[in-house]
Amino acid sequence: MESKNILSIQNVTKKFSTDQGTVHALDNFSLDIKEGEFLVIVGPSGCGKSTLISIIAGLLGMDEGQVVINGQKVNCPFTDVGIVFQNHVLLDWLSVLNNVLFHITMRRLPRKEYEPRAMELLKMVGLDGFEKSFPYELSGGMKQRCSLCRAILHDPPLLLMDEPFGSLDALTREQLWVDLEKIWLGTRKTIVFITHDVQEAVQLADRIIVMTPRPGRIYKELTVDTPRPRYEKALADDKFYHLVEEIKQSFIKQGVIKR
Amino acid sequence: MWISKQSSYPTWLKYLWNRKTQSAISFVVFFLLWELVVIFFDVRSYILPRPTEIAKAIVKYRSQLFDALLFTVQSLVFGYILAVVSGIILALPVAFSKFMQRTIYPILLFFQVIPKIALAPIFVVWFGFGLPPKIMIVFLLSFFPVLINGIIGLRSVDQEIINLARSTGVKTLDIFFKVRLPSALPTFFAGFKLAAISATVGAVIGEFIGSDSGLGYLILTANGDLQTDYAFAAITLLTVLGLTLYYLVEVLEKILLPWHISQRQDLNKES
Ligand SMILES: Nc1ncnc2c1ncn2[C@@H]1O[C@H](COP(=O)(O)OP(=O)(O)O)[C@@H](O)[C@H]1O
Ligand SMILES: [Mg+2]
Repeated sequence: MESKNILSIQNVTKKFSTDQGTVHALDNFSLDIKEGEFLVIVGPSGCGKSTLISIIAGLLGMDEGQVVINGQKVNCPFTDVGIVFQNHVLLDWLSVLNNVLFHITMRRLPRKEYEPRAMELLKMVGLDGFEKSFPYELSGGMKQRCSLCRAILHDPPLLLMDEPFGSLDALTREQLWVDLEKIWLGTRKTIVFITHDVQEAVQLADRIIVMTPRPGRIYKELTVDTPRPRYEKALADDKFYHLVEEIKQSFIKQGVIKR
Repeated sequence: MWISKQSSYPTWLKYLWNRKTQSAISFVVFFLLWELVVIFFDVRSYILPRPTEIAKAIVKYRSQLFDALLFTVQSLVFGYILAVVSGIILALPVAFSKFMQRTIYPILLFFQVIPKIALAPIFVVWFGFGLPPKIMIVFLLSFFPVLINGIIGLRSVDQEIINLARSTGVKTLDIFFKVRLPSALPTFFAGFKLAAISATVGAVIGEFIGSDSGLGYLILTANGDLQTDYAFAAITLLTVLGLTLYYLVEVLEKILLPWHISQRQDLNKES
């Protein structure tokens, strides 16, 4: 591929020292992500996925190695990424619109400039008419849509998503796969998407990284070339099921799933 | 299978038997039973006056009661506001800085454990018989619920929310005031409500220990004269006073935090 790397994770090691001893979360983890790529990292719970996301975003320091985004070394909270957290973390006291504008108001950027774009994004995810509602008036799926809008409003080239659909019911999750793919096709942002759901990984990814249990390392790399938009095509695609099977087999081999 | 039983009741009864009247009726029944029990067992008025006698006493002693109420309200309101303001002001640095947590917080906890009622007589020695010792006791009793709840609220904000705020790259102080503080407000209000109840207790204790006015003082003197109906009249006013303070705080909470969960899981909304 000729397109350049937008994100480069180089030999990152992260240990937490706790009262119970040292937890080795990431071990010499290296990964390059190309611009416009939809990368999915799938791994067992506790293998260091969230830690990795925090390190990429500069929210957490690392013990060794470095992270480079667009040629810039990350060493403090990096504002040119968008993050969708596992829980929607909308602020209860802000309306949907103000939640979407959160970065803008926190950073004291001109609100008026971003408001039309915020409304546009809300419309894109089917939340038009809800901009004055409060988070408690939304369903789980709507909340995640709202936090997706918040993450991309300041137009970051890189979007980090940490198990964003993990707490949604199965049907809502599948709907969001379709919607996210649409948004991705429309904006061509680079996405690093974390999940523990194998189906989800295959459904969304250009490239899948399978991680080992803690300390997190790369166990396997797979590419998915089912054409997009993919949802229905994947249903009829044998390759899709083979990929799901392959990843599940690798979890069995690693002892993550015990027979 | 579930055929509505309600259809067999007349409309006027259904109208009367809604949620609000249910609570009101239960009160009426309670006072009625009280009245009847006292009459039936011929309980002496100085032991337990009837509700109607208490009502009569309230009317009869209204001017004394009103003066006493004014005095008690003053110590209650001043002490409570002092507690809320200083509780908030101290909670902020203690929650914000690890250093303050290690130095000030243990001392505060130590004072929290002292039975504050035991200090009341000493306050009389220090501050005399007027308002100041009462204000101090109200303050002392309501200060810790505000402080402790504030600190807990500020410290237990979800880590993902903090990370979200940090990801905007703004300063820690900004995060504190724009995200941590609003997140902690519901817990703060829980403290304000606890404090409202403690404050009323504090106001009465202050007047028990050394006073020549106030509802607590009235209760003591009426009791000494075996005017139990008078004492109950004062107790009734105290109860109303405490409830009023509590509900004022709750109304304020509803106005300021309409999004807060406890407002949404309203018990009264379920049928
Ligand atoms: N702040 C922390 N302090 C101590 N241990 C942590 C901390 N954050 C994560 N860990 C530990 O590091 C490991 C990886 O955590 P995490 O990245 O959240 O896993 P995942 O997101 O893959 O489920 C876990 O064992 C977790 O307990
Ligand atoms: Mg995680």
